[in-house]
Amino acid sequence: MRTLVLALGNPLRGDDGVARAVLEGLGQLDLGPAVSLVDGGTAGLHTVLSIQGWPRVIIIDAADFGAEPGTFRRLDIVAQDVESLQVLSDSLHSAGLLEALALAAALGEFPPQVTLLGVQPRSLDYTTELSDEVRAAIPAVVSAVIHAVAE
Amino acid sequence: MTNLQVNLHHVTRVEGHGNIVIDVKGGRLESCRFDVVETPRFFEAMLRGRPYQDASHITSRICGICAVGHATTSLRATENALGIVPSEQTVQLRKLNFFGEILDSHVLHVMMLVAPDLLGVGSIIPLARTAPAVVLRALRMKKLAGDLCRTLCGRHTHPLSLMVGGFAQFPQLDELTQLRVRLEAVREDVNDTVELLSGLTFPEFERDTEYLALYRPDEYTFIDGQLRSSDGGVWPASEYRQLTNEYVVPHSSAKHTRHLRESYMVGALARFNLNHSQLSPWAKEAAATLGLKPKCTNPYLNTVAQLVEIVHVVQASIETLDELLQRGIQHEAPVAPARLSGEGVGVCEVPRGVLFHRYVIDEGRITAADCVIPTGQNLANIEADMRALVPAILDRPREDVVLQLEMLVRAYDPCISCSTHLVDVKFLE
Repeated sequence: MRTLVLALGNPLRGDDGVARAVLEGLGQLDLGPAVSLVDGGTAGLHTVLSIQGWPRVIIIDAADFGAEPGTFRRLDIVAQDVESLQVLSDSLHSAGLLEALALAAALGEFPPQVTLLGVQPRSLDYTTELSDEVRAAIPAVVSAVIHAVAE
Repeated sequence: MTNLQVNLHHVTRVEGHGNIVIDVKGGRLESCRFDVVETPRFFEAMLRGRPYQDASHITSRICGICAVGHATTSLRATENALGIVPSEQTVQLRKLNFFGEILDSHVLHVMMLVAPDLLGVGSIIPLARTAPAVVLRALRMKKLAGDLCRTLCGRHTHPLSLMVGGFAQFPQLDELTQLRVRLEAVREDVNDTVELLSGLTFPEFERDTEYLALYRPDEYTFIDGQLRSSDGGVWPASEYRQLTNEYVVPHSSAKHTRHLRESYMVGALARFNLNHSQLSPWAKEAAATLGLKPKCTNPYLNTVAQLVEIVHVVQASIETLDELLQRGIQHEAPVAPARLSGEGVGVCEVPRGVLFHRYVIDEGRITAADCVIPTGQNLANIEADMRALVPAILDRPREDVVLQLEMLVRAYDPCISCSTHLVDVKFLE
């Protein structure tokens, strides 16, 4: 299946760069012509255009869910999950992934399959270095992406 | 309604934090304020002691939307201080970069922040459900604007390659050719947007004020020029402080300004009112379709003037690209300073209006800096509009009064974080 692997995050903010590091790991493998690896940078409303038209999107991002740093979770998201959320209540000047997904759903452009792989960061400080825990998790996240692609 | 109290905390769909405060007692307007409660930013102090090469990179962080505007204004201030005359190619490349940012910012405001009001929905999300084509069009246009900026200055916002005297890196010819193709293709989106807005109704409200904008005899200018007032008069940019006359008010962490009247307006409507004859034929046609005629004194139509400028910059970008493509790109070294000490003013029409940077440089280091930002200049005018508007709409339901006021503030496309750079400290003895 045509699949977009979209890395989100800012590599200047410590562990927020985890997705790019995973993308670099994936870049060294042969995932076949149906898989596109894209560094989407910091998410915003423009992310709608990145995911538009793909039957399957795998998003990698740092996500704080209160677990041990380096832990990662997989979340399969459908349009109904984000449709009812009250997002964008104030400013559009600081929209992120959630707003982009909600907008995609409202536009009827939500991809049929969206999988989020969220990695718990230790620190989002101003550095280009990942923490030891998050760096150690990269091979496992790479494997999880390969697994998701193969499904 | 003889008594009305509005205390609207945090006006939505604007950049930053501002509150509308209205108090009417016994039919009399007792207070009418637009409170700016954003934290001061202290950029001018940050510049002191820094080498002149850093100024454009630091000040571009004043804004994530008009970063190219701040960087360009900063570069022009430094270049004027140090006797640098940039090459013709530099002027053209900067212009193209600037058009990209005007397009980006105006599309965001017209199509994402204001359109929901005009189409009677609360935000862009319900708009996406009822009119997905409009939202997708806006996203496409913004993408093109972002790519245009990235091609010219290295990334969408906070430019990397703009530097004192020239460019650190140059776009490839094939990138410029591709941009030209996409700009041609976006004409249809632009025309569809003009058609959409021409069918929508804006609030009716007229209040004449003084309009200030940059002027150049040879073009509808965004970079460099003289200052022109709709009340008459032309001033060199270096004398901007004669026009801005900044002063402090207790309820705002941004300074207010005034010139010949109690307030003045800057931005797309001011530029349109003063320089409409220099718009491209396509933009003039769009203005006619939209029913926008100079001198327009309805501030709500600032949004319409922005749309006319969207048309203009798409056309101007295509023309600038044609010139660059015909001439080819020279990988030229930046022009070196003629001296390392001096004082200079830079002036540009950024999306929200005229922006000034003034630096004093001593042996290559900045010793003093002053930045006067468009939203700060518009604050007094927004309040003057509110004072005129509130008595005229007092008989309407409260929600409608609040909506009209919010839409008024939003029409100015205020960038509140940009404008705050002052804190008023009082010492009690």
